[in-house]
Amino acid sequence: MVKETFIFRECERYLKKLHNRYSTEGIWIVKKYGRRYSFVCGIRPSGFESPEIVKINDGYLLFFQKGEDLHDNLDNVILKLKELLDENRKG
Amino acid sequence: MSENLKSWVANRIKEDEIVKYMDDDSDFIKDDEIWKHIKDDKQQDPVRIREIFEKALAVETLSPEETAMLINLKNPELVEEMKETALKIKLKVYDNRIVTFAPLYLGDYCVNNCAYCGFRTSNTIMKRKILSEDEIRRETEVLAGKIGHKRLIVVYGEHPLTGVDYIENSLRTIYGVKVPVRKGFGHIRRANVNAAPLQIDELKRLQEVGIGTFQVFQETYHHETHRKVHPEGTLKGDYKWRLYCMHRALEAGVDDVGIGALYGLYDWRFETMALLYHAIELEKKFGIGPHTVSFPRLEPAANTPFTQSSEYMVNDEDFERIILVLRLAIPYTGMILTARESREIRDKVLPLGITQTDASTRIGIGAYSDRYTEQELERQQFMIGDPRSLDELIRDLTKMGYITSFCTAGYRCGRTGKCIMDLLREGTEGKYCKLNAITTFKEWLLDFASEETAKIGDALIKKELDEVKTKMPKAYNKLNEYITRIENGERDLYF
Repeated sequence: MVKETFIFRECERYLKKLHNRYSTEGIWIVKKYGRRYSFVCGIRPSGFESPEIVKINDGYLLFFQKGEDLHDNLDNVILKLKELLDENRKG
Repeated sequence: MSENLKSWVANRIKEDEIVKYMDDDSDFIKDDEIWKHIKDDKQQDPVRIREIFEKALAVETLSPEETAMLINLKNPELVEEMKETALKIKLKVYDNRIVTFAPLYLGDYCVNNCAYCGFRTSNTIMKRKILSEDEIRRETEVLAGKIGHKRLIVVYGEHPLTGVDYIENSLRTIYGVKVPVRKGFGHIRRANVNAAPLQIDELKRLQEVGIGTFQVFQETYHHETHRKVHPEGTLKGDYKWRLYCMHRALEAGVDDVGIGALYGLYDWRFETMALLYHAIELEKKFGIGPHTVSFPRLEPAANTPFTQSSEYMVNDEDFERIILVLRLAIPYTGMILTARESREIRDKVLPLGITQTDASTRIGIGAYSDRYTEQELERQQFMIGDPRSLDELIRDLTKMGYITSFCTAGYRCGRTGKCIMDLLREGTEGKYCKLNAITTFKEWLLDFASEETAKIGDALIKKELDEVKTKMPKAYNKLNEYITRIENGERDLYF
């Protein structure tokens, strides 16, 4: 639990950076449970565009609104988030 | 009780899943402290009362002291202002939408023996039944394919036959149903669960299958009354196991939880204060308060004289006050008013801050797909008071200026838990509510509405679109695009 909280804080810090750099209207990570997508961490949505959804790994997805330039760096972003979340899995 | 049943009961409660959340030897419901707040009837300075209204309007949870002042409020002018404030809060947090759902009872076997409940184990006149997978599918086909519901509250008794395996499988069955309708298809998008307290590992399993809100009512928060109405040695007789089940749910990752009290078991003022205490405790420990609060009143049940003799039955005037106080005290929470109440009462209290209600309600086991249409007390937990169909209710709500919402967007794009709490508090979620209400209402009108309801429903949608154009111009084009796509047969588009 403590480890998980630490990792999610790290993720949140990273998402904040992305939010500022790419001027998103929200960028957040969710964990997928069946039909349910539970909020994990990040900058909550504020716009009305449908968010883009990118798979990070089997359980987690990245949602973001706007921030078009983020696409240029998306592979690296996903890789970084994957690393952070994998740390969490290792416990 | 058979040996197998005894053994199942004996292994349900995990003490370590209670004690770990407790700050000291006692739980967080402090009976004496609550009564002290209620009885400390401070002079009702209008300035102070209006400060409390402002605090609630800022979507801040009220303190117990402030809440007690609202419970005791007598000045008629201030009571009127409290009603206006309640409506303002509702509109700020959720806009003018009312979410609809249906209860789906899957079984009435129960190991408990609660004095007020028709399902109690000693009630031998009950016709007991648990729905099979096929029967659950048939019930869901009626709800999603004929009536047009998108959201259910699935209700289970506390019994090994309806334990976590059954709950998990039934949710999969419900989510698996997809029925062709007029222009699109009907399916259940969010299945909330009302069940007995579960263990953390069990809750994780429900999380995996995509549970909506996990709802458990404490029934009464008053310790002594709880002991009186829930016999010792029964599972429900363990006050703390039940009280801390939302802690376990939140730890398991089920981050939308619903709390409630059954009004009529004990003094309404105490129960209302205790609901606030529960919300404050969850906020303090997890940063997440209750997604919904329920406040059902005790109703007659078959062969259950307690329901007619309780000295704490709540009259309509006090019921109004309960709703008002809860709306202000926990301003971000969803408030559920059910068809237990009569049509007259429902129409009267809706403007006090209600956010969700049910329609076309049947609470007999298998009653949606069964041939019987009348209420049969031996097949249901209690009597319902408002038999209106969903079409009728929607028509009435539309005439009252409410837009009926079938929105289930939040939990399908990560707006859950702390995220949705913050969005509700800042008023952003209300905007999503409005937009998703319009899209889902349009879907329902196309797929299920009678001619009369479709006509006034479309007129309301036109009005709502004009409002969005003025108030949320950034969202207007997207909304218009969605409406056109829905008219062309697409479904389940959301913000």
